[in-house]
Amino acid sequence: MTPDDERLRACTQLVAEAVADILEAAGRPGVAIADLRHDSTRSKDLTLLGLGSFELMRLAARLEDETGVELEDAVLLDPHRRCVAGWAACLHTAGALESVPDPTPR
Amino acid sequence: MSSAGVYPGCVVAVSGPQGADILAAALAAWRLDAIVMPCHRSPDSEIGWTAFHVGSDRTVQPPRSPSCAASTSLATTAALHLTSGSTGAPRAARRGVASILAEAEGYAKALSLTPVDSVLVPVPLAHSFGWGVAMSALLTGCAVDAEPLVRPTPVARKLAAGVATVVALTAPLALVLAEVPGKSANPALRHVLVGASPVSDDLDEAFSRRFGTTLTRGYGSTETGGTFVGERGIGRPVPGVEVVSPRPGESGELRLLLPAPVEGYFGAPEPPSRQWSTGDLVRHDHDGVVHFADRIRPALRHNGRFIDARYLEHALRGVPGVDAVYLLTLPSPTAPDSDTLCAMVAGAAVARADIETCLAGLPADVPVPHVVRCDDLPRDTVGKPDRARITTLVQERMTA
Repeated sequence: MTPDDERLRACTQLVAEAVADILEAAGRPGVAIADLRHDSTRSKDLTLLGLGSFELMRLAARLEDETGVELEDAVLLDPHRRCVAGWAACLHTAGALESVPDPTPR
Repeated sequence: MSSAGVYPGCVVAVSGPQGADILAAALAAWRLDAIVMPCHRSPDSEIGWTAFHVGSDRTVQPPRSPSCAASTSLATTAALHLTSGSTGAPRAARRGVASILAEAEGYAKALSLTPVDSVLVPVPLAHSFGWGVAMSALLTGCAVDAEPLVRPTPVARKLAAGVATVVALTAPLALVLAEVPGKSANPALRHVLVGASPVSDDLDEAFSRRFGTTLTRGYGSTETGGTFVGERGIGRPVPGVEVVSPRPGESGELRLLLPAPVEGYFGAPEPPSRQWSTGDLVRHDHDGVVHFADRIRPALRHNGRFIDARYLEHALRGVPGVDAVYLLTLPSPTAPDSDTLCAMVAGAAVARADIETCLAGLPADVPVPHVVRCDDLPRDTVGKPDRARITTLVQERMTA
């Protein structure tokens, strides 16, 4: 796995953790972080997981704060990119976590 | 629009464009003496079928119905706004030219707007609050930034940078912005006007901690535009608007005397009137500040008789963990000639047993509803109960 692949994996982990946290805070637990990183759920529209528009905004603000980069508006609007994989790819492209080479999945 | 055949007196529904494009579409329609109807989606009703339609690709489509004809009854109407439908079926409220100009004058005086102001309106312009602030600012000669809020970070950055002197928000958006990490206080920001939903003291404090300025409350109706602005409660009437009742020191339904007539609804002509009953129960303080207390609920018709929903709603709201209650009647899925009284009860930690205890304790003359639980009450973009989504959800649960 190349360092770039590692960074994408770390971005995916970060988004999955944040989504799980927000779902739990909203009283909708039940989606495990491991599931969110799994192929089938990773590409699932976040609104179908139960996140409303204001929760998506909170999620975006949190990830932008944690990574220091900004998401594209499109990942909140386009149902094909509004998923863990889409957000992780967006963060990765924006240069997030360039100093985190070796993530340890939770 | 002219090439597409838009003509004086016709309706142009604008559902595709966002932000400044909605304002540009409205100005284009007005140049052709047409009536603009900003909306989230093209309404699937008579008015939708007979209107021209501006879609997301900015093309202007002709009416779907060939019976489209100039609406002679809309001669003084400038815009149509779909009501939220939070207390009934959505209708298209007619906003007259005089009403829009009066709203602009009211906002200009209440917020001390001048042409040097820069007004940020990141709230949906299809809703009458955002539309009213944006149009009022334009009519006053202000610069308007109407880019819709998708992510909170860019808007928080604009507030911190002081690029706007006045900002229009809804309470849910103000909360999301207050939660954006960081702290700023730019003295250029004079007013953060929050409309379309009540502002809690907690929200005011949180926003003040984050952005160094308190929230200004706004209040109005789709049918009238903005009518109140102030620092407490729903504020005081803007210049030109008078409170008919309740009198200072009293409570009751808020009735107003407006500077321009209310024109009623599309397809339901009523004599224009400057008097407007808001349907909201308020407390009118001696110092002139008005406080919202509750919405007057329309009587629910259940199997042919009207029922007072307030008692039932009050009882369900008393169940531990209940955040919101919404009552409605729907055709029974098993007996089409009868209604089913339904209650959507929202709250993540509500116990079924507590609801059953509540229902068991109702007086004999109060009908027991079919209760559907949810974590959060479906709301529209400005935080009002979304009747259409609630109805769909309840129907799905009832047939599941």
